[in-house]
Amino acid sequence: MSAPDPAGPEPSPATFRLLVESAANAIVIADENGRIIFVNLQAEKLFGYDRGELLGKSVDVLVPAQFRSKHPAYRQGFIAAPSARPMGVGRDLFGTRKDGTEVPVEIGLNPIRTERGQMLVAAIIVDITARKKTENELSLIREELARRAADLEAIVAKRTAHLERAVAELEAFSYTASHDLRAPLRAIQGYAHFLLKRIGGRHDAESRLQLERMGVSASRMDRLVQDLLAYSRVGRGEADLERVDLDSVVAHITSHYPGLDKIQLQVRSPLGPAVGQFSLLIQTLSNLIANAVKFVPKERTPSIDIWTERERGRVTVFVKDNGIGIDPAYQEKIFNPFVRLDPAGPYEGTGIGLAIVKKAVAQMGGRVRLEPTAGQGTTFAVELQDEA
Amino acid sequence: MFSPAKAVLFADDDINDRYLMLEACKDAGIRHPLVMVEDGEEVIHYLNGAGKYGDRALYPIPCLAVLDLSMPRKSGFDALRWIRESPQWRSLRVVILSASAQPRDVALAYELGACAYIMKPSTAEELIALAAAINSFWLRFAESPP
Repeated sequence: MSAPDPAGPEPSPATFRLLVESAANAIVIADENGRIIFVNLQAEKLFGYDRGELLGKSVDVLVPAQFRSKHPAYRQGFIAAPSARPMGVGRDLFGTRKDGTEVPVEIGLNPIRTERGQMLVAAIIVDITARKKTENELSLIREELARRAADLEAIVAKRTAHLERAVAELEAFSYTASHDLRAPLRAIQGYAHFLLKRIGGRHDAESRLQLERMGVSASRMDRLVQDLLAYSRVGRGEADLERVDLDSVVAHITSHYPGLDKIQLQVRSPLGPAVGQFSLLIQTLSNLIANAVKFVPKERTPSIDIWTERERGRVTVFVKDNGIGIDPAYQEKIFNPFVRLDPAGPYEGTGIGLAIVKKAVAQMGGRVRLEPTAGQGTTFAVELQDEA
Repeated sequence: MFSPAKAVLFADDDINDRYLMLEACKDAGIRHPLVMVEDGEEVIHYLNGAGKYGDRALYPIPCLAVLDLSMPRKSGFDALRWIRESPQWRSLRVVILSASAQPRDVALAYELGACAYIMKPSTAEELIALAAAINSFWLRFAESPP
């Protein structure tokens, strides 16, 4: 047995005919005058003619009516410079069926020179109805998408405007609150002060005490208003978080807050970085330090110890003082606004400091808690992320 | 020739704040004449010597203006703007005394040429301390424009 000869016997013309008939695309062959001399089965199906009806006719009958008059000139142009190429590049092509309907097509033209020297043109015609339909659907979907994106943008713009208005209103409210609520309080306190001075020793101790208390109460109310405003301002909206060097935060506090030079402040440097926001960290640590200084009996020198511990991507800042301490039973309560554990006690304050701390720490995605402390004093722990 | 002492001009729409400031200035020992007006428009009338303000024996020329910001008709900003644009008064020392210290207001005040921005003290003790500071700094140590 020998291998088949690669150059070996050519398929018979009958085989070629079968091949052409079974092709998936329509094939129309015309002579140099444009007369149809061959169509295959797919061409019959595509154009709706029996082949007997097409043979001998001009290919122009397959061209849509509005282009038909120009088609002979195109044909002659092709015969003059024959080469295999797609027809009508850049244009949408259509074929005309027997019933007059049009079908979108893609056409490849191939010149064929016969053994007898005759020039034929074979057109391979692909029905692209399905592709056109998909393209149309796609473009509809794109338009729909663009429309929805525009709608979404409009909604976002509207909500943003709404939010900006709300923030502006809130700021206007803060301004009114600070300006209009505080003015009468200043007046009450001021009049009480000057009246007390004016009556001097002329009135009884009881009257003077009442005037004093009036002034003190007005001052206290003024502080409450200021603190409430401070609390409402903490971290309005989203905070932009970054890694902040805690040593620089503490350095900023010690250089900007008077009176800290009178206390013992031990900072176990380097504290290292934590994820947060500089101004929120300032508010957090300055309030904890102020709190620590405030709740120390008069005869004791306030002593504050600050250090950090790192574990599993979290960094905890500890602030420990030698003050009067806080009963762990109040662990939850102390972080609520305007909570004072001992309102009648000697330690002044409005009870907003720790509420500000809690809010600021939450803004930075952290937590603050009271730590069990051995011996005297209080330890606060602020847990933040180590890395963003 | 005798020239009358220059005044300190206060502008505030709050009658209590005006009264208490006067008391505090007395307490702080300010000897300059103290004159009070109620809004920014009055500041401009005063400086122009319009109407009754033409009587400079009663309403002396000021060497310092202390302006509240939020006032009806013309605000402290309006008055400050007018002062800085006035050929006669543009070197007048102006101190803003406001109930709020909103960063936007503080920035604008300095931009418009305020010499200082001070938040209204909340207690009489602090108000007296402020009056004493004005007395020693602006009325004693700081040179007045000629």
